Amino acid sequence: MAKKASAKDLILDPVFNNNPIALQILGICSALAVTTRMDKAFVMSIAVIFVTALSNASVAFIRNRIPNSIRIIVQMTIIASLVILVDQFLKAFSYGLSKELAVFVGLIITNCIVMGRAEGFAMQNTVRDSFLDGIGNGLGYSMILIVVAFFRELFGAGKLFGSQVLPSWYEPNGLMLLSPSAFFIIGFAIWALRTWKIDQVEEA
Amino acid sequence: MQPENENTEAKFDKDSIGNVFITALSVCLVCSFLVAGAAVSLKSWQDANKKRDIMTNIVRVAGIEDRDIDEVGSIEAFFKEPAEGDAKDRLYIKDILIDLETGESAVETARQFLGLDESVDEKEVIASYDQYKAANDNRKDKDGKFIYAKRLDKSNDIAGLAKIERISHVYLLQDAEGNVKKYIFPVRGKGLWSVLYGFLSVEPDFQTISGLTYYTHGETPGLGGEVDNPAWKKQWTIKENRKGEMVGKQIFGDDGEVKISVVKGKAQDDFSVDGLAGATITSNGVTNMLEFWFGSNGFKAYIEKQQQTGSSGDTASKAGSEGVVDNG
Amino acid sequence: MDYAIDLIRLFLRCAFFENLALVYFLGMCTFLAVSKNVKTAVGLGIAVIVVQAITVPINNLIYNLILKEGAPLYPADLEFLGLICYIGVIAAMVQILEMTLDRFFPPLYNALGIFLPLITVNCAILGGSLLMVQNKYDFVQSCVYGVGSGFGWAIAIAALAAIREKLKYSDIPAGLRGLGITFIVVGLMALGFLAFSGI
Repeated sequence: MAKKASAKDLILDPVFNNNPIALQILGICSALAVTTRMDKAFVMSIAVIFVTALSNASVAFIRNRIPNSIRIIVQMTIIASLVILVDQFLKAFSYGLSKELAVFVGLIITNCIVMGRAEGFAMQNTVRDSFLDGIGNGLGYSMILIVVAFFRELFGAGKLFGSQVLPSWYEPNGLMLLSPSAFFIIGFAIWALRTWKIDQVEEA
Repeated sequence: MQPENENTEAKFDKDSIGNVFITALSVCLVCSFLVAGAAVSLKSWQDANKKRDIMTNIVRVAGIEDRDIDEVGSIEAFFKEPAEGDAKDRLYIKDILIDLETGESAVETARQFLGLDESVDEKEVIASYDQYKAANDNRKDKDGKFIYAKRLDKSNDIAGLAKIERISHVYLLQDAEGNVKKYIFPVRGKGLWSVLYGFLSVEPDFQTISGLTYYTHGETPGLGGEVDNPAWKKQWTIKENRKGEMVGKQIFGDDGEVKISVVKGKAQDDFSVDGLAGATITSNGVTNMLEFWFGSNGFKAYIEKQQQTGSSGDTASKAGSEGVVDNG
Repeated sequence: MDYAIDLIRLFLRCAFFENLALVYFLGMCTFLAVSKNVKTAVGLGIAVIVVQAITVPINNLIYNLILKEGAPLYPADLEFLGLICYIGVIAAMVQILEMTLDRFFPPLYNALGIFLPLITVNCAILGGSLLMVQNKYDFVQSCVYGVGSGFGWAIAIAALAAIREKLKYSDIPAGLRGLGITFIVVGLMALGFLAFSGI
């Protein structure tokens, strides 16, 4: 019997110790595309936290009833429905953002974090634990997203959340707005994280 | 080790066929209920957002800035008729419906299209008319021609639209006295991957362009998608040239033909606009779109009628539709 | 003839200029996780091409015949069901492919191993269908798009795997080893692919 994980552990572990992007290699795609601006990153983060937590909870709720033969499809259906809900809400209450996030909101469905946690955690744990785990992984994902978006928007456009932050003599670094920069920043973020948490370093 | 029987009876067999069906069915029902429920109940907000987005684009292409909007209060307020006490020079946008073939007002035909009776106010008819829906309409008259749409044949279909509507919106930016400052035309045309939908703002001389903006398209980001780049869009506005004059791009050449085009490389004169790097087809799409909508299948009839009315007060419409092939 | 040239252009476009992995960044998780050696990377690449080539045209048919507003089989606007439909098709396709391979090509099935189920959650597959809808391709175009985009993704992962194998002989700082340096390498590859958009 595994010891009952405390709520705090479940939520905070995935932020630094078991970060979905930096260690589990999950959820990368959207991390690269929506981090050109802080507002996009924020909305995406909230959407992922919401979907992961709820899908984890739902899958955990019926985990003992899901037949093996349709396991993946059932998980996908639940995840897909939640994502469509998010998309519909965005279209209704934040039209501008929904246009920009278009393809990527849909990609939350295949965001490996959601599927990965549903299959890897929610199928074997209680509703409460799964819900918290969902929040935790969502937070871990959000942390990386926000860090990357912070640098990309700040150095790429001199702005944060659309408002000019750096003085006008700053010539925006165009490379930051292009996608490769997201890779570099995440690479360095991983370097920094693994220098702090040495146990995450890979074998030579 | 528990005996087999006790195990199978006490445990619920989740892999049984029955359970597969039940689980699949229940999950489907719950999910579809949630999803459909959300889609239906949020539809009015979403439609309002779409409308607002279009209004915003119209207002922006007309050159109206944030502070003007703040003064009036909201984007929607710009579309309201001026009230008694408003300043004479207060600008607002008037939405009208015109028959592309004759250039005349077409509110009554639109009323028929929408199936609304006489009791519905004109403004409501105009506000409810969706010209893109009309373009897809298949109702025909006794001669077999589309009533509310028109099929284009290959030689006419410069913008790649195949079938267009007969009645289009035109937005007039005017003051309280009815003096029109700008004409805003909804335009669209095929690019490389998609149809680009946008608005073109034209000065009252019907020759000078004062703005072009696309509000929906599926062109490649960074290539054709650069139609959204403010730097490229700026070329379509009226700016001060080196001599200190305010000039804008010109539509028609001396022969009365549409001369404005997006050229490869840098623009050479007032009839050309810089090409989009790496997006020849999108650039051509923009050129073709302008050629189409200022031609006889587009707003030419309306423009000629306005020019006549403007100079002589003659309200007789000129059928500027030579060359239109009605294939119904 | 023009149409054929357009199709060739489309193929080159989606394989290189709009490469799903290095320009749109789809399918990154498996891209980064499975690129440790060339053999497995190529295996996954081929699986992706096959799934993509089948699902994109099928989803195209579903969208044009059923979901979109005014579609011949069901005129009402069902676009909001798009995501669920496409994903359903993909999951079903992968399941069927898995069973077919297991039955008729056991060696190939064993070689691919767990990569087959992994394809279901590969965002590149769903992304391909979504982009196909957004760009409003017709059926033939979507077939070309399916093969081309899968091919592009496969080439990208094979290339990355080749680079990573070579990197094993380099001296990399501890914190960067493995995932960190991979990100930076992919960043550089993406930078290279950006050059295509200048064409």
